Amino acid sequence: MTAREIPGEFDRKVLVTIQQLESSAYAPGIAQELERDAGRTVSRGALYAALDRLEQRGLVRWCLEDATEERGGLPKRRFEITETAVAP
Amino acid sequence: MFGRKTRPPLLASALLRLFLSEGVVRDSILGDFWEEHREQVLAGSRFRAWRWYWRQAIGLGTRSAVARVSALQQDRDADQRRGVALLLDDLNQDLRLAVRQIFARPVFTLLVVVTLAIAIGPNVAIFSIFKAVVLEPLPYPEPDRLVHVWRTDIANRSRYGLTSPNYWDYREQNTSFEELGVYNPYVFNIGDGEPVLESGVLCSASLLRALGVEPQIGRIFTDEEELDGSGRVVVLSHQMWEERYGSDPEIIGENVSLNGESHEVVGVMPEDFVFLSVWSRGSSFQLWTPYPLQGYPGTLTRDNSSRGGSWLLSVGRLRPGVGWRAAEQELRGIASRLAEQYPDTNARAQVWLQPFALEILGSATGRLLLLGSTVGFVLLIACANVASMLLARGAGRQSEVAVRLALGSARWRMIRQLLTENLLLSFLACGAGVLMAVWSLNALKGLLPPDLPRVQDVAIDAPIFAFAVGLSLLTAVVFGLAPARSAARTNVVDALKEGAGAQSGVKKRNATLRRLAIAQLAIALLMTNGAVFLFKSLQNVLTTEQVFDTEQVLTAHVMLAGGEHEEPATRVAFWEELVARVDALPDVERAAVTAQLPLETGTYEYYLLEGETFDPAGERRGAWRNFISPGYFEAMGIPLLAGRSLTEEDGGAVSIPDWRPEDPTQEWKVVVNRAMAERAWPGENPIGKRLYSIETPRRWVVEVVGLVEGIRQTGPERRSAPEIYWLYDANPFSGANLVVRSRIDPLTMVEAIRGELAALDPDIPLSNIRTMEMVLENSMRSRYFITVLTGLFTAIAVLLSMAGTYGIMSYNVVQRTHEIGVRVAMGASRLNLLTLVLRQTLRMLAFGVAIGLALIINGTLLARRFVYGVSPFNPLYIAAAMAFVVAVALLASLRPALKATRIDPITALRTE
Repeated sequence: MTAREIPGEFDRKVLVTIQQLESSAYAPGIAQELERDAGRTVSRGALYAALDRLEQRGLVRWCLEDATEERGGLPKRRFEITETAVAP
Repeated sequence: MFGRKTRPPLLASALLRLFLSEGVVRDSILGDFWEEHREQVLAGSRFRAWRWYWRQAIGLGTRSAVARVSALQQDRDADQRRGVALLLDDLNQDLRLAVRQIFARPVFTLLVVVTLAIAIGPNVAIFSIFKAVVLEPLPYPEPDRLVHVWRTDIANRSRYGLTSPNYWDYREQNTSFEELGVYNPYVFNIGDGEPVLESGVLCSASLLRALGVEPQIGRIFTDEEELDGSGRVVVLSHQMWEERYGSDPEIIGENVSLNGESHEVVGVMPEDFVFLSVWSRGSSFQLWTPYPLQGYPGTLTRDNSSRGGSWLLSVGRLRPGVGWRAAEQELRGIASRLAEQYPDTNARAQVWLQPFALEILGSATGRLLLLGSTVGFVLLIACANVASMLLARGAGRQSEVAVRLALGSARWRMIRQLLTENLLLSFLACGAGVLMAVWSLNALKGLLPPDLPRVQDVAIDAPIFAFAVGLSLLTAVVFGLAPARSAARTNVVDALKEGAGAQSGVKKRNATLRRLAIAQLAIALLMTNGAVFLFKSLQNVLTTEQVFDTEQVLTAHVMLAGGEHEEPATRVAFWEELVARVDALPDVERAAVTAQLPLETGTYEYYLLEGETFDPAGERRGAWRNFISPGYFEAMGIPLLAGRSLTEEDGGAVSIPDWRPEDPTQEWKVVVNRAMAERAWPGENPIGKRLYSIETPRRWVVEVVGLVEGIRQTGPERRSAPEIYWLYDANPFSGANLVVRSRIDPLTMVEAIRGELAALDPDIPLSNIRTMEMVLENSMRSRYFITVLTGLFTAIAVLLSMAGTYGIMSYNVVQRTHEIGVRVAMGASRLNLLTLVLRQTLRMLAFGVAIGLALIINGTLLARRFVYGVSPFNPLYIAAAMAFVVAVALLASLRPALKATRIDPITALRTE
């Protein structure tokens, strides 16, 4: 990543959390990890905005997973970091 | 299993659904929220879960809403930018196509551009004169507060100057004016170095303050310098300071000799300062000095014996917020009080105020409006001409238009493209027209009459360019309307079916072309009629008998200066000596001096007839008066009708200005003119009759010893007014006109005359040297200006309408080629064909003449005041104008008509 591509602090934390969660990087899980680190509630609006930004920058992608009853029959997105994010 | 307890709040969920954009992302977010809410519910607190959901939903919903609005705005901006980009692209295409079309037909383009340019050019030139003379505000601060004050008679609106005592009363008793001043234009003898006469102004300090312009250097003079009579101070113009004194920075305090008296320079006015005067219009004034002046008869006295008469021009600056009508009311009140106080002199005196700007304009507006109308008509004809050309050309582009429409081009797009072409043509013509205006202004300036104010400000500047551009836009719309409408009406199917020779809408187009031709003919008739009357009027003025001789008579102005000419007696002696010397020159028939030349007005005097008593409130008899040396009538060639001319023995002991009430009534011999005799003693012999001055005690009584023919005092076509001629020592002037009748070309006598003058006094110049022919021409310059220009523009208009008629008739013949072929095949003779074509012209002429006559009746009201010696409704001249226009139109139609007779019927029958 070049200097221009380095995300802001919050975005960096989100990126790191996604990397840490590996195959379990779903938005609720990411949010809980961030809240544990910060010791306070994290705005879901801020989180989704950060995920959008990271996606637009090509640092993160998501894939859709099947809906479940626990989620009211609504689908799930699993996030993963891209090769661009890990490139030197 | 997952009951309603774990379900998220419905309302919050619905709001979230509303704020988020539809799609899988929204569904997954809702799913995430559901999941987390459920976990919190299962962890033990439904309230906490509810609260969490609402907070997060509001946060996310707000953020999303803001993001969506922002994205919408960006989209809209992008759309707008896209829209503008599309429009620019379209316009770019239109422009490129227009340029291609224009240069594809260079001859046609040139024809259109030239036609428009010769109409736009004069419009721009005349407007630039109108702007400088009429529209520009006067070159003084807050010029709408400046007002001219006239004395008038209670019974009419005649305008006279004020007298000094009345002026002081108006000035001191009014509350409406910030400043009220007086002035008189004068010609000064500048004595230092080369003696020269300069136009300048005698004025009060308050007048310069009223104008409100600060000197560039120094100051204007003060009331004290003016009132104590000792102040001999002068303010110079920038031009005089530059040219005569080399822009000397130390000029303040230097002395300048004015009429032989030393005056101290106290100030220099700025370069752009212009002194505007209602008398001596057009003069360029070079200096300003307070009253009194050596050799000048008037002073700003308060002495009541000087309350009668009129000689001071007055301008004032109103106080802020005071209207000139309110000021007039106030001064009228003062005038009424003065009438009661001084009935002998003021019983009939009233005041009349007029905004200074209107005074300065005088009759300029009327003249310029007439010219403006004339060039406006030329432009209309040019527009009609170009519209016809475009319409006719549009017929040939029908199939092209139809194909484009068939391929999906919107009609409005077509119209826009046509208008773009028209605008381009118009702007090309605008450029050419402005160049023509610049060139023609230089030529025009020489023709401008001298009394047109502020002509030095006439220039082609930014506002004039803006006018030219605006006019071009308007022109493009006017001439483009008909062709654009025609294009809009193109029937695609018909036009495509008919192919290259499409005749879609031909009837409507031909009708429009005919209407345009009729309009041109009507306007051409109106203008021709106007020109005929103006030229006839000019001819009438030129042939109007002037009574005096214009050939072999030279005039020149002489202004005495210096202490040796201060006494009236020495001035009289000087004139006598000068006349004798010039008279003695070889080739001089007669020499004389006069205060006033014919055609250049003069001063006025009231009188009583034998047995009459003065009624201050009653009507007064008045007459022009002139002061002459013996031999004046012979020198000027004014016929003596009865009695004799004046001699040196015909004078009184005391001159009129020097007379005091303790002096006896002075007896003088005078000569009167025919108009005076007819007014005062109708049907009687005036010789031996007496006239009396109106004052009590009487200042003078005169006996008429001679009767002369009447000259026209105020203009070459104006009626002769009553006039009384006194011997020159009745009013020993310091400035006079030398009149010399010679046997040879009078201009060859100038050096000899100058020599005689120099022999008497080398410090006195001979100036304003003119023959009486030049004096007469000068008096007619305004009329020449209007007549020549109107004639020129009318000629252009007639040529344009002739070209228009030719074009339309040619087009008509082409249109009717097939029909003509059929007629020839059926046995029509050449004469039949000629008549067929010319009948079309005659039909258009009939309508054109009818409309033209209606325009004439209305238009005559505008031009009436410029007509002289002929009734503006004279049927003979109207008929002449009609005959001319008919002849021109028929001539223009002749070639197309002859062409029609030479059409080959076989070719014609093949033509669709």
